[in-house]
Amino acid sequence: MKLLKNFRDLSLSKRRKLTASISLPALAAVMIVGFQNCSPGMMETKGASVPDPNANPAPLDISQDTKPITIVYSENLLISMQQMAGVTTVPAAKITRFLSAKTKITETGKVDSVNAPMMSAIANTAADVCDELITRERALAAGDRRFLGLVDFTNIQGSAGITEAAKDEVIRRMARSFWGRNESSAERVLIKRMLDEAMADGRPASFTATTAATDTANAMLFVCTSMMSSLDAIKM
Amino acid sequence: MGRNQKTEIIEKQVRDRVTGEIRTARFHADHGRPTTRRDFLASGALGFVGYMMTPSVLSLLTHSKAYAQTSDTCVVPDAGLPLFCTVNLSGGASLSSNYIPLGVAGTAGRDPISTYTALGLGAGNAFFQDATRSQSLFQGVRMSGVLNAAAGTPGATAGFFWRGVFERASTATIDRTSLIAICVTTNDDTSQNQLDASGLVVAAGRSGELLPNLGTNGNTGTGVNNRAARIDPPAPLIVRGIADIVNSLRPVGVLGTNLSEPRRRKLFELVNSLSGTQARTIASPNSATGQVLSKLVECATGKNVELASRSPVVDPNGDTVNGGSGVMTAFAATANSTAHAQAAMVYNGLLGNASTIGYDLGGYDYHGSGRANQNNQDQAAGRIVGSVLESARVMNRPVFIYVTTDGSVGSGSDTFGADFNSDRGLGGMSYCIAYDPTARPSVKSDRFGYQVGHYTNGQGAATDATTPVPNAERAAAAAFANYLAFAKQRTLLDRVLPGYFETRQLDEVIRFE
Repeated sequence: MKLLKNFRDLSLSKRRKLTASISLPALAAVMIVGFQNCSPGMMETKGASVPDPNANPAPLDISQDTKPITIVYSENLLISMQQMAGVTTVPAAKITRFLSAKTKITETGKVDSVNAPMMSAIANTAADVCDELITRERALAAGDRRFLGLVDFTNIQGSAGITEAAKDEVIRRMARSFWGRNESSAERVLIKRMLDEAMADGRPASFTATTAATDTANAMLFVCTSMMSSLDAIKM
Repeated sequence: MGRNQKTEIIEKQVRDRVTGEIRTARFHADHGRPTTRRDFLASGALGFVGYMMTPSVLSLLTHSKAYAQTSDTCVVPDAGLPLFCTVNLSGGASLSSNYIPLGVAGTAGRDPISTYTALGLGAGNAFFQDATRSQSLFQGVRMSGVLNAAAGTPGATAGFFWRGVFERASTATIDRTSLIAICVTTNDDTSQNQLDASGLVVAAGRSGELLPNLGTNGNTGTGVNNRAARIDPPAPLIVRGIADIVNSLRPVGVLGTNLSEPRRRKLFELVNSLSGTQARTIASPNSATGQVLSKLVECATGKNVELASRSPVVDPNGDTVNGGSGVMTAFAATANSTAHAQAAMVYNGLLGNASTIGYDLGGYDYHGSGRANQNNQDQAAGRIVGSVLESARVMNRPVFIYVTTDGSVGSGSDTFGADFNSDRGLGGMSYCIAYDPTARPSVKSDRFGYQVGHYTNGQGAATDATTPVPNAERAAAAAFANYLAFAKQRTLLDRVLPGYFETRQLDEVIRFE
């Protein structure tokens, strides 16, 4: 109260100066730390500039990037995919295939080394790992499977017999393991739609037990390979 | 209150309600209503409030690019940079015997050195102006030997590299080709010379649309038997046969056997769509790597959708659309031969499918094997260079060829065209050969001529401060600088090799203009 009384006793110009010297820094502090909504606007002005998509790409200086991103590189690609899929060992033939494909995969993980042969090699490697995953899980009881617990490989309709619930669960489990998060609803809808379209193409009028199981396995190969080859599975 | 008619000023006496102070306020008749301090504060506060409440929108507006733009056209990143082709002669070839090296540049230009016995061109330098033993090619460059000289004459004992070039390259091609040489001492019979410039070229922005850089030697990481100068290139695709290129773009293993082509196409479409969605979350404005990655992944997976739908044209054999058949002819190639693979390399490089290409040719540690064999080997190297040049002509694309070798060979005879009997890295040299389909590439007509660096009267490439290229790495950098000059992209030199050459050195180093 005494402070307030002293304040009132000051002349008008002094009161204004005092008010300004207190309120303006406070207002500045509020502006700097508040109302940012996690946006990259005011706080992150040191970030790298937006590259011109039509310019020749400058060599990236990751040390100057506030959010550097790399991708899996050739030496750790197979191991990384094995870990995602829970596949501890891979047959020698597949390792040989991977070794021959390594020349097409970046050695450094630098993002500007990504090209079509590299993404193709990543998809090929992912397919090999996914094939191992499917082979191993088919041999297990449904309750012991990590990814394919609701998939019925004995359904005579093949991939057409995979239930929506089974698809949802496969996608959810693979998203958590491959991407480290749940899939979005848009991603789930997209994967299921593309799966249905792909498997409908060339589907025979009827299956034997063997061909039905193969068709179901190929559907799982489609889902697994596409999810394991997509960006969130390969970026670090 | 009063009124000043002359200046149109109205004066008012006003009293502060709180303090009772009396003040005089002046109003200009032609001015608008006065703006008070409160007005200023109010307008500023409104702006600040707006800024505080909408920072995300503001940050979007202040950037030049929409974040959802990652799916726009996938540019070909090598735009403006022609194919860079390395031809490495592994073992130490006699390049300095084919191109006659000259001495240090004086004010009037360069002169021959006093004698050329160690270079297999005999004693003295009279042969330099002797039309039976040397001739001018490529707009005045003096070469040893004489094309089409009769067997048994002196002109038919040297300069066989050029015979190989002219054997494969037509007159129309030669007329649009220029040549310079780089005098540099290199180590004999080793893969440790830092002569490879492909990493520099990739760093400058040359990259392939479908394939990485192509090479034929898998031991060094450069595709040829040299170490990289300054910057390592991306891992090359090693080409030992046409199948290596064709299969690199095909699905292999389970993907190829278990999923049909339409299903693979759907799979890549799905990868493309998923990656596109996921890319937007990492393409934040302060992550340059995130933006580049999202762009490249979308382009690469988009390309794979294309590739899954069609067989990409990577084999020149039978291709009449892009000039592939002409390339096969230029290499005198038959299906599935070594020459077929060589033709496919330059074909994909010229098309822009591959970034750089590198041929590593063996058999050049040939000292002591007799001049006839040495000439045959030189001619074989010249054929490759001539084939690449002719391929560029039939495909109507520019090309820059960088010919290297590890070390060289030495002779001890006073006879023109004598055998080479020893290794002699002191006599090292590289060539830069450029073809432009529109006109012969222009080389500066100054005192440095067609040569970077120089030979001393000791018949070796200078290694002291008088030369800008005292070692292999600097020779590779000089080749790179000339590549950029040929491509009319000299400014990229400062980006890739900032401050590497002194300004005064660049006058000599850069020969193309």
